[in-house]
Amino acid sequence: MEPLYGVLDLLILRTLLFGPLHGYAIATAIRDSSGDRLNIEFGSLYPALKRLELKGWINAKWETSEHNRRAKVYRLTAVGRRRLHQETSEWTDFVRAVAGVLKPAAGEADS
Amino acid sequence: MMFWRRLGYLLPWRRRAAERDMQEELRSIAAMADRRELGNLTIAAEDARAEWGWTRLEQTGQDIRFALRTLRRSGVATIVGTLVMALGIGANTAVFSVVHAVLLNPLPYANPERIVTLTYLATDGQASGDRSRQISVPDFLDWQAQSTSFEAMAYYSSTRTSVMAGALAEYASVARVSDDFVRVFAVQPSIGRPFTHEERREGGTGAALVSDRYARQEFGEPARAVGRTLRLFNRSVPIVGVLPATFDYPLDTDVWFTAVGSRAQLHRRGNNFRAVARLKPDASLERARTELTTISERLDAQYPDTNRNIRVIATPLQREMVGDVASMLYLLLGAVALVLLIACATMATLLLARGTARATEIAVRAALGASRSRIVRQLLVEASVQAFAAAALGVTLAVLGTRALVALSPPDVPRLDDVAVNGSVLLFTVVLSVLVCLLFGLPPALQAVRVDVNEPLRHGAARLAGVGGSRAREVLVVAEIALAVVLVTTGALLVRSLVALQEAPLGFEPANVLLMETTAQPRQRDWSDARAFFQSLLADVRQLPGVVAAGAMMGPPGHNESDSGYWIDRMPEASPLSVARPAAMNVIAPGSFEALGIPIAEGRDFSDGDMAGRPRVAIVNQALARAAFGGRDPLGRVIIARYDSLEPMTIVGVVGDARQYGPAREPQPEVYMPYLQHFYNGATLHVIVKTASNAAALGPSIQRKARERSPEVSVRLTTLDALLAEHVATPRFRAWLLGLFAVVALCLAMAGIYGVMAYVAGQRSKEIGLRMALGAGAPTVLWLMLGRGLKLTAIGLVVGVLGALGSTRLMSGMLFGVQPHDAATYAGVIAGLGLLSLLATYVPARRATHIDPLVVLRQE
Repeated sequence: MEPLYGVLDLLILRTLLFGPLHGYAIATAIRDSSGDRLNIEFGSLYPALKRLELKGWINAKWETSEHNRRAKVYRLTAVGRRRLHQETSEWTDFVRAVAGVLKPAAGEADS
Repeated sequence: MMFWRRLGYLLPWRRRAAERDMQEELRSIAAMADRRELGNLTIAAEDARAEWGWTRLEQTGQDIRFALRTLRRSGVATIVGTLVMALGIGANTAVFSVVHAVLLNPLPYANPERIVTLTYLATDGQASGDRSRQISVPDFLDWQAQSTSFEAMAYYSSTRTSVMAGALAEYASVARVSDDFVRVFAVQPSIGRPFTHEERREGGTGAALVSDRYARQEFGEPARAVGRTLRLFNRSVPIVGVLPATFDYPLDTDVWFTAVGSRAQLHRRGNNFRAVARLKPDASLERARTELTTISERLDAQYPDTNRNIRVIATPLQREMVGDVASMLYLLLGAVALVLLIACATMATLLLARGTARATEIAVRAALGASRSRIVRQLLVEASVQAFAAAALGVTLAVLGTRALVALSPPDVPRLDDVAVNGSVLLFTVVLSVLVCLLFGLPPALQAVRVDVNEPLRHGAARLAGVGGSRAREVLVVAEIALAVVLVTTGALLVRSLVALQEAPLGFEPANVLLMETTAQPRQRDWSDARAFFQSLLADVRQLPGVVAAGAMMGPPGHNESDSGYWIDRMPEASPLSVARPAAMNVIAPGSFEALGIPIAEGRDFSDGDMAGRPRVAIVNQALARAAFGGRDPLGRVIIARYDSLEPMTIVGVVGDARQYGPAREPQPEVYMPYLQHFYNGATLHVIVKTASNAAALGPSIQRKARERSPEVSVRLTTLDALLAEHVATPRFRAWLLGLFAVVALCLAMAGIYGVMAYVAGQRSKEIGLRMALGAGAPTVLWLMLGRGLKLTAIGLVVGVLGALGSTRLMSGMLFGVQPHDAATYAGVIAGLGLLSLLATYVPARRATHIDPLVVLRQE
């Protein structure tokens, strides 16, 4: 299942809300929290990370992990946090609207 | 915010740092996880780079570099194509720039569209007729009194005459202008003041305005001119003002001089003036014309002797000024437009051939994964690179070409000072060249992208070449040949006219003849001092070593401007000034015929004995003898010339015919009168000296002889050869330019045929190889190839000849001694073009016969 265009940004921002993560960890976090239903390859995720970084919603820093490995870690900025709230509410509205349209009408339920 | 961040990535080192950082990050990630789980990291990196935003720019840079490499590799074809387009751009911009400045740009006067000239139209009862710019003052005064369409009207006459601003008299262009001349042009002196009423009025004191150029030349700076005195027309005239440098009418005038003298004496057919007028703001040209027609019909009824069938017509000044020059410039414009068309067609054939030839390369790139848009973008860049190279070169050519045109233009082209490269035309031609490159460069390549990638790879480009492209190429070749025929025919006709003009039998020998235009300043009422001056000068000149013969005349051959009429035996009773037979009038000194090599067929030359107080005599030319006397002997008969007096003269000699109006016109009847018995125009004669060798070398000593006698005498030295060259200046300009364009067109067309045939030969090499393997001999193959080229050539020639027949008819006025549909010229053009294109076809066809069937067939 491929996420809708633009939803990927939202997923990344949301994932980073709980703390900084490196690129691969973001991909696995999304997969895990979607119950394996959203399997986003790191390759697809990576350009989005760069885009968000350019927009200033996240920033990145090289850090050394507990296993003494260097990794580039992304964290949410203040601007990114505001965007996340805004986009989340827009998304919820959108889902509700689509669900309203898709809800089967009374007479059609069984046909 | 994002934009500024991205802007940082324009810096190469920022981009390099980001690239290093990304590679490191991707390596660190790759170390953490299974490669397959991560997806395609190369694409990820590519897409991430795209987020920095300048990928497209980078790729375009790559494209340009690649395009330059490709173009350099494709060699001659590219260079030819670029030159061709540059030539088209340059030539068109140059010619149009001149056309714009001379013909289209409004005159630099206030409301120039309201200024008109008034000219006669001799109708002979018909709707149209010959126009004559010279008008008479009595007619003008009637027009002025009876018309209501004009705000201001003026008449003027323009002469080059002797003017003394300092110690020596020099020639200057002087316009004698009537009262309202300055008002017609709404021009104000930049320094000083306009004429006052007292200065303008008939018989008034008179005053002069001078041109900015003349003021600088004579007095150093314009301000110093005002208040100085000029001596001209035998009187002293104060300079009251300087007209601005932008004002130049009549063209090249140095001095505008008012107070034209008494009008009462002027005759209704003394057509020695020109008229200009300014329409009232509410008056249309049509209204003015209707009004003028009514007035001239009234004058026709009132003065039937002089004004029969004479109408007056108002013409916008600008159209009048450019007159004959317009048709020449439009001819040039047409010619360069054809060159541009041919250039576009040649470029198109070259591009089509190249595009098709590259089908394979493009298919390979597509097969290797290049996206369609990327390929198209690259092709676009390639076409644009060539187009802009052509444009850059074209701009250079336009600038140089415009300068060259201005420098080479014949002297009768007005307003050349204003010529500048025209930006909008330049833009137009550049855009056109870019469009041609895109229009013809892209489709074959696009076709390659559209088809199945495997197709061209499997079959070679041959399959593609057979489709659409070949028809387009054939049409282009036919068009090129046809356009070349039109241009070459036009050029050939003009060159033949030029040759005929230069070889026309003049009736006199211009070699080694020195001319010194000389204006004396007669102080005596009867001009006896002027006569004495010329008489003693001529006696002196004849003594100079190296002088073979010397004379003097009013209108030197080729430049006689005096045009009047004569009667034989007696004047008709009823009306002295109507129905005289037309003849040129000339006043000459003894020895002139000898100096000019005009043979005396019968009778004698004048002598110094033919002077005032002695019996009046005349010499006529053979054309007049034929016209007036048929076979009978004219010697001793009486002739009356409508010149300075109507006294009868006895014909004492008959001389050979000379083309007195220039080489383009057959000799007309002419009456020669002795200079000691007649006034001559403004006391001006051309001293004519035949020398044993180089005529110009003798000039200074003859000039000194004249100046020794009086500093008030102005002189101008030239040679008869140089004077005659002026007649040929315009035809030569036309013939050279058209000839040049024709040669260019020819080369382009040949390049086009050669290119296409060579290309077709290459494309069909497999077919040819197969045929040869199956037993076809070289001649069969040769004919196969030639046949196709010849068919295209034949169609092109037919279309071209039809086009040429249509277009050369329009230029019959520029032709001399050759008809617009001259069969020999056409035959020559057809034969020449046919042969050349045969050659252009033969070379690649011949090469095709050398194909080794084995080599070709093995290529599959």
